[in-house]
Amino acid sequence: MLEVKGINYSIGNKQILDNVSAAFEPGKLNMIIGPNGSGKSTLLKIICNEINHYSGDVFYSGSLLSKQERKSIAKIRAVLSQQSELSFPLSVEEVVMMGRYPHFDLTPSIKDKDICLQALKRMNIEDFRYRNYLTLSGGEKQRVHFARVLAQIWEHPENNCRYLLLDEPIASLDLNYQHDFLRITKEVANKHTVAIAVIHDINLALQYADNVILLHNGKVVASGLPSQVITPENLFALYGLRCRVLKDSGSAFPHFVVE
Amino acid sequence: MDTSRLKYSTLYIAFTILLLITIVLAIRTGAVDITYKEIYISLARVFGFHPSGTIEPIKQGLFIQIRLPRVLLCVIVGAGLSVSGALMQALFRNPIVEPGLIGTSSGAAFGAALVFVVGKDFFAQYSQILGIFALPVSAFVFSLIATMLVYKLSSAFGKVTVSVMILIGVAVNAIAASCTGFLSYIARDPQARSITFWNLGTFSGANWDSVMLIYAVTVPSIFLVLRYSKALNALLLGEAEAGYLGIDTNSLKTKIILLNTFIVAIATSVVGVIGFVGLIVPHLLRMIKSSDNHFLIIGSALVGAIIMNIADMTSRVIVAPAELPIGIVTSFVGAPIFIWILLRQKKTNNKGGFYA
Repeated sequence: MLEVKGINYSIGNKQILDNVSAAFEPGKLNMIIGPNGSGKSTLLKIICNEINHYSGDVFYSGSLLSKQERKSIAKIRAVLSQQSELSFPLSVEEVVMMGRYPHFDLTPSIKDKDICLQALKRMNIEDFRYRNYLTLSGGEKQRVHFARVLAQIWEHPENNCRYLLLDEPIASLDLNYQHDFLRITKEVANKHTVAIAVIHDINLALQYADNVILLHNGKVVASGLPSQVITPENLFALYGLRCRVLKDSGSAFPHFVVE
Repeated sequence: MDTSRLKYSTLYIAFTILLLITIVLAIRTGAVDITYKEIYISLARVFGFHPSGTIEPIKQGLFIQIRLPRVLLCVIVGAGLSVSGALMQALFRNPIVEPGLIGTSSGAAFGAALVFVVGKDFFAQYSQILGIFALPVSAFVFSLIATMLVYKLSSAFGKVTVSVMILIGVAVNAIAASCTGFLSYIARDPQARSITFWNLGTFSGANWDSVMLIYAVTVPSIFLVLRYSKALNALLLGEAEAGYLGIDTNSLKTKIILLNTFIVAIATSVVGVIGFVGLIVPHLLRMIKSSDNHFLIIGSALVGAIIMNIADMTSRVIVAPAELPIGIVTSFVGAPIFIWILLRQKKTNNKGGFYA
């Protein structure tokens, strides 16, 4: 369980987050949705402990985030950012092995190497494990980082859940891999993991999310089941766009089109 | 040849063999040739054996007291400067950083010149306490000030970009150089001459004391920084990402800057300013295999020693029987390579590689 309580955060006079509270349960894929500047990424950064001048509390499994050691939390929590700054030649395998860094001291164990290989296979990139990361396309790079993040929290910790936090993870991916990423995220979430993704695509949220939080001007507008939260009224409030719901008898979830 | 498929251990062995070859060649080369047999006889005598054969006492003296410490000093300074380049490149996440560009060397040079020129008068009452440490300590202090100045000022603009950092490096280097220049102006003649020479870098002053000092500093420091290679790799992903992998980036940066300055300042206080080795060696290794910092640190130590040995041999042979300051050789070869790397970087930049 991951909880945020009464988060306030401002830069100068601008209030970025205004009394935000939310609870994220393991076993569910949570998605944070909102227009640009609504505070989605900031909220995720606070959850990740990357921003720390905020008021309010973040709890991981009931204990305060600020009281936890960076090293121990890295063993159970992985974060995938929009894009990485990595600009040095490293092999794909070496990048994925970084995910195991919190788990070994100087040299990776056989288990670490095995997990690394499984993560590569999971993302379907074991063929280019020896390739130079810099020669990959944007989408391929993102798959490498996803493999790294999966390797980081591959094992289930005892008496605790895992945390997988994704900040607009699929922006640079083609359709095929967008769905692949979300399917894998959902699989991981189902195995006692708190998964939170900041995402833009409403229809993907309807298809994959178990719980949706709508943010607007730093406030939580609505939260709950996607079918209840993602409504034409809410979307108009968020984006000022009129949307129509399309329901096809063959599909389990509705679709939105902008009019 | 695709060297990226070679194993790390294969490369280490190859580098070590090359290093041993260059060491032997460097011992033999110079104004006076020393044969393999003479090397063998001298070494055997030092270790208390009585080999058959003879060597002129003056040649044995030359070998043991001058040539050997010089080559050993070369090896360790080359290793130290190259490892320092690798560390700074990882820390700034930028492949074109080296101690000569970010103030570390010029700061150390000023600190050492200060002790040369005003040390005897100004530090008189402390010199008893500081003794032989006055020079390295002063070099370290000013080196650290200059490095921190460049680091803090270039981080003040948010993300550290190459252009800002290099410009600030140029400014800080200019300040340090003008201070050193001022010292050489007010210095009495022999001191001034030594500052000028030493600003160009030279191994001609090598003796067993300086060898001991620099080995005592550099060898443990290199082993220590190897422990941070994993954290430095994670830092390549960006500071936030390194944090997500459990690394305390602020403490890491402080430790690396301190250790790095320590290595460079002590070496500079003895041999002067030797540029571009720290830039080129890690770059070469990246082209051969990878940016993995564990490999870069070990590889830089070995290849840096090889390159420095070759550069020193060149400086001894090229105008024999006189010798050129080694800094002239490294800059003459290194600066064009630096420009080439910059151009190449611009190319890869367009494809989304390397740094903007």
